[in-house]
Amino acid sequence: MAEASSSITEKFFLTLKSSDGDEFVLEESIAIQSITIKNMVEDGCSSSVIPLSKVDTETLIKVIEYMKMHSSTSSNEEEIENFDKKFVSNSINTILNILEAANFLDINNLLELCAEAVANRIKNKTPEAVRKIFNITSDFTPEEEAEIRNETPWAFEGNLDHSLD
Amino acid sequence: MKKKKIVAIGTLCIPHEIIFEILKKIPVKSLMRFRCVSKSFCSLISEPLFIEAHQKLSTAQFHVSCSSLATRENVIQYFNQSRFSKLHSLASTNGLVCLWNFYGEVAVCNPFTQEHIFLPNQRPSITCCSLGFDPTTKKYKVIKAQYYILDDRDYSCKVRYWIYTIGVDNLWREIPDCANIFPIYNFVYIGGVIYCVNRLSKPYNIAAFSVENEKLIRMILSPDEVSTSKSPPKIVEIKGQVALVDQRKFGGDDKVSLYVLNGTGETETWVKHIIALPLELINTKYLPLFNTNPKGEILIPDAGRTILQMFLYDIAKKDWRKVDIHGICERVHRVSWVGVLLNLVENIWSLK
Repeated sequence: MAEASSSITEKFFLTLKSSDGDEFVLEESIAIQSITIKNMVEDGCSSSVIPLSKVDTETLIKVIEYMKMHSSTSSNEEEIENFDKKFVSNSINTILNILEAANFLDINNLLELCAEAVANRIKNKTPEAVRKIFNITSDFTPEEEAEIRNETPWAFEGNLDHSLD
Repeated sequence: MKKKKIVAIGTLCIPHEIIFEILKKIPVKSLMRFRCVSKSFCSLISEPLFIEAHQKLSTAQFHVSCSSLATRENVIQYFNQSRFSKLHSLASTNGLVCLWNFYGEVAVCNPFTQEHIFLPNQRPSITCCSLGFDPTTKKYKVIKAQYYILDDRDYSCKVRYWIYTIGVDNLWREIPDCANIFPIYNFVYIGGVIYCVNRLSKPYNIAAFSVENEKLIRMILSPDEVSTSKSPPKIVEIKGQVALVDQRKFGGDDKVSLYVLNGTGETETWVKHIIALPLELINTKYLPLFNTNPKGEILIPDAGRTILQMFLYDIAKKDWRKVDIHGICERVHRVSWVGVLLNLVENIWSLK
């Protein structure tokens, strides 16, 4: 009996290392919301430090915050809802970084949350603003761009948002 | 399935799959604007895989509320154009709309991209059309049933079926060897198959046509209660399943029967639902127009008042909700269109 209950309460910890070299210790049950980490644990990589070469410290802190809030053991629904709302009020660049991390770490809920947030933030923007946000240089000639605009002039009407956040 | 392409080279390199996930959640008007962001944006927005994912998401997130009706104004204005005024019937699949009349004219339009095409005219006859999506070739096809009276004295008739692949065909192609099957009110499209109730002979059974194979694939027996009744049942789609509404029960009665075809193959069975009508609809003189939406709700517009009211029924909860539709009623010249137009899901698919 005693043995069984201790194995349930026993916690395993993982160490995640950001691309900046900072290490974070996290409960395994929380970290395996990331399918990438879960697969690594199942493959027996959990004893050593898990290097996340694509995730910087600032982003990793945010991702860990998210995983802690969304782990099954803590937090009620209202808390999670409020946390998510605040979470997506970060700058669009921060959310894009988190989105990339969520994609790399394979955390589906976080990916959905951030993709939705970016979509809502950019949907009323001008193509110029979208280019700047995604750091894209247009590869259309002015004539080609004018042609696309002329196909659907109504899509460029109304109050469009020029801001970059 | 997803390709690893890098969209931009700079401080931010956002993988193609992330751009895909973001753009999937963007309304059509914005996507049409974002086509001029860059060549990679433009080609992603016209990729069949993207178009399908975008349309599936807008179907999944569909919700009728007072606020969503405001965004429908553009759609309704679009259909009030004079070029469509001679077309009295319409049907929709995945947000695309097929319009036709009995003078041989058929048009297909995407109200969200504001594109339309007129298909080749054919000789006048009683006509019923449907749009179907071929999941294999990722093309939309129009199926058209035409009913010709051969002899006025004995009402003998012949039905011919035609098909037209949008973006491929220049002419209607006849579907050979179609049995004498003609839909009573409409077709419904569900997952690559187009269904209709055959009105030409009792029992009123259901015909199923494959969009991909362009032929009749099977007949489905209707439930006994409706298969031999005086008036044929109306076919609708409820959450991806075929359903029949017993139209006899409308008009004075306070309940209506709905049969949903559950299961597949051997386990296929009709499940009967009794729907208690809201008070406002019980004593209407007219046969209510009956539609369903992508959430699986049943819709009945009540145009008998100054404000158009839409009644929506949730089968699982057995509950009606009511949405007032302000300002739209006067501008839709056909009340029967309202139920269809309010149910359109956004689709960026191009008719060219």
